[in-house]
Amino acid sequence: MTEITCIYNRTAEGRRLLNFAADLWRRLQCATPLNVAIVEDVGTTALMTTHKSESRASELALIGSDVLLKTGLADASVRLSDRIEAELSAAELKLIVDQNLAFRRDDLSILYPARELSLLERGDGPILVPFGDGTSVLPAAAAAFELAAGLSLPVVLYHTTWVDPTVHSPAPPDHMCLSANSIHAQLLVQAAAMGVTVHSVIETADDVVEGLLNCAMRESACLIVMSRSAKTRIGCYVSQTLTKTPVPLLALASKRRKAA
Amino acid sequence: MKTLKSYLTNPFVVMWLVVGMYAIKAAFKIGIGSQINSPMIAGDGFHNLADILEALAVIAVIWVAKRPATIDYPFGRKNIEFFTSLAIGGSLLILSVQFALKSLVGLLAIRPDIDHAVRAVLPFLPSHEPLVMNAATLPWVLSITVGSVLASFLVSRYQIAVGRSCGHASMVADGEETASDGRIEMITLAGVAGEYYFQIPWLEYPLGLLIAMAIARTGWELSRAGARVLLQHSIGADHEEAIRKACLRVSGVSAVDQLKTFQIGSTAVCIMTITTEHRTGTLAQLKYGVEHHVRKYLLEADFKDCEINLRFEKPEPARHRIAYAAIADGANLCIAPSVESATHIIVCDLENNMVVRTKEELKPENLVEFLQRKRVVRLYLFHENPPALPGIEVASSTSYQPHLLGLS
Repeated sequence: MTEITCIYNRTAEGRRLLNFAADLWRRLQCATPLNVAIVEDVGTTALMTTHKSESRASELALIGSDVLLKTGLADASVRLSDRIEAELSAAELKLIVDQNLAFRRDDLSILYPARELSLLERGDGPILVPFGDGTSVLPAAAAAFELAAGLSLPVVLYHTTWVDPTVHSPAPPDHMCLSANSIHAQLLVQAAAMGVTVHSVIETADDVVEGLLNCAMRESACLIVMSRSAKTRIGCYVSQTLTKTPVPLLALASKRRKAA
Repeated sequence: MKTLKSYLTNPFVVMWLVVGMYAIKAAFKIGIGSQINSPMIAGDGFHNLADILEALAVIAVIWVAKRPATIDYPFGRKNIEFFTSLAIGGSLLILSVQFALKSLVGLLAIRPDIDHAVRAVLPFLPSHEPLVMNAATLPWVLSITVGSVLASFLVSRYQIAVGRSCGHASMVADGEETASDGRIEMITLAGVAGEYYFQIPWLEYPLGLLIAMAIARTGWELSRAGARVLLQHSIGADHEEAIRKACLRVSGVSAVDQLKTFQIGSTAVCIMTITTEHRTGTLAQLKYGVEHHVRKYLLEADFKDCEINLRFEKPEPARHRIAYAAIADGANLCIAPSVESATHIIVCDLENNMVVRTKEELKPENLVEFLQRKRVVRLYLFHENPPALPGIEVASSTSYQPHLLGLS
């Protein structure tokens, strides 16, 4: 089950995010309403000289009407709240659609739309899941397979490896280390279990982020799904990818960061 | 070590085979034509000698076209091939007119009264030359013509296929010319068969007119293709539409503003201006994506190579100005429910509907005059139905919190 949250903002970008989130919500036929978070600045509310609670209620009513007007959703399909917290558990995917939050918060699972109007605006491209030799990809793969199954999209598993000088084969898969091979096998099993079509791209790119983004562009991927690593302190691939991607990216929070 | 396939698909090998075919055809036709005293066959043999010269010219053109690019010729000398296309296309157009005239004259010869009347109006019409043959020479004529037709069709297909796969327009044009020769020879064969086996000697003339039309069409297409490349005509509206669609399928591309295409040799050149909201950090990937998909399309569309020049532009900013009536108290600020309760006016500059600059002003005495002077198009109040102000549009702000309105 997927739960989608969008942070309300009455700007052109906010409108685009809202429509992106509503479109995704519709396509995934989510059982829970689209959560529209309205973050309250207490200092600002304090300035409303009279009827502070009425002002807040009036704001919620106006925003509610605005959201319904812009998304075309029914009243029951939208829930206004003042929380933006979301978490990823094994049972459900809770994600926040936002253009800026992913750069500031690595403790939340955020879908960065990369200024696209909707996830499938460019067609039914695959979902790209880059993987390395660690298990941090597993939650990303689970989320990607869930989205792929819900949207009837294929998945591309991407891996780039260093060239092993002791291996003479020119084929990149022959240069993969044992742990990466093992992760790859696990992902294939996981995808098969969920009935998701998968193909793998293994290469020896000069740069990991550039390699995965080039692959996303070649494959016309509609989404990249990556998990933030619980162990990485410097050189986080997710953060680097966020600064360079023209393709929407779902950055999943790491468990360590959420626990902290 | 080169494989047989690589030899057989080498353009020079193919063209030398063509020279060989024409040499054999010429030798047979001139030799046997002279021996059986058939000016038709011998004449065709001399025509094949001219074809040898043409094939040698094509070899020279391919050699020049294959020379690498230099500083003076950054795209190489591939366009020389299209001079050949233009020349062969032109010669086919002339040939088609000659052949159509001969066929027309043959048809007229069936009705001498009409022939006489037409010649009175068109005295320049060539005279009709009937088939001169007898039972002894017939088998020679038939076997030479059948062999020649088969050789022409087989070699032309081979030439065109290799020419297309290697991107040599002159070879394709020469192949089309060889095929046209084969068609004319086929009509000769139809004429011989019609006269000696079916007693319908006029059969070759209407067929000849049809073939003349087919040759004219080939000649026109070759000339047009050659002229288009030499005059740097666009590669075609269909291709351009497909290129636009390929670009718009790339994430981050808002629009293809300008698209100029032309062809140099078998290389397609695309000059594009892409509108995108993305900033510098993302443009390298955007460029990679656009180039990858456009290149893929062009190579699948039979171009042998492509040169893509991209320029990225921001969308038109559509600048305008709005304002919010606000209550300010130190660092805190909220949108006022009415003009009366407002202490300040926040004037916002918008580009692409995004607030790019704000300026906080004390509420002026004459608000409308102030807003008009600042060219503000709309004033927002935090009110479900804000009261109207004369001379300025007033709208409802859904929130009183500046951060929800893009003001902080």
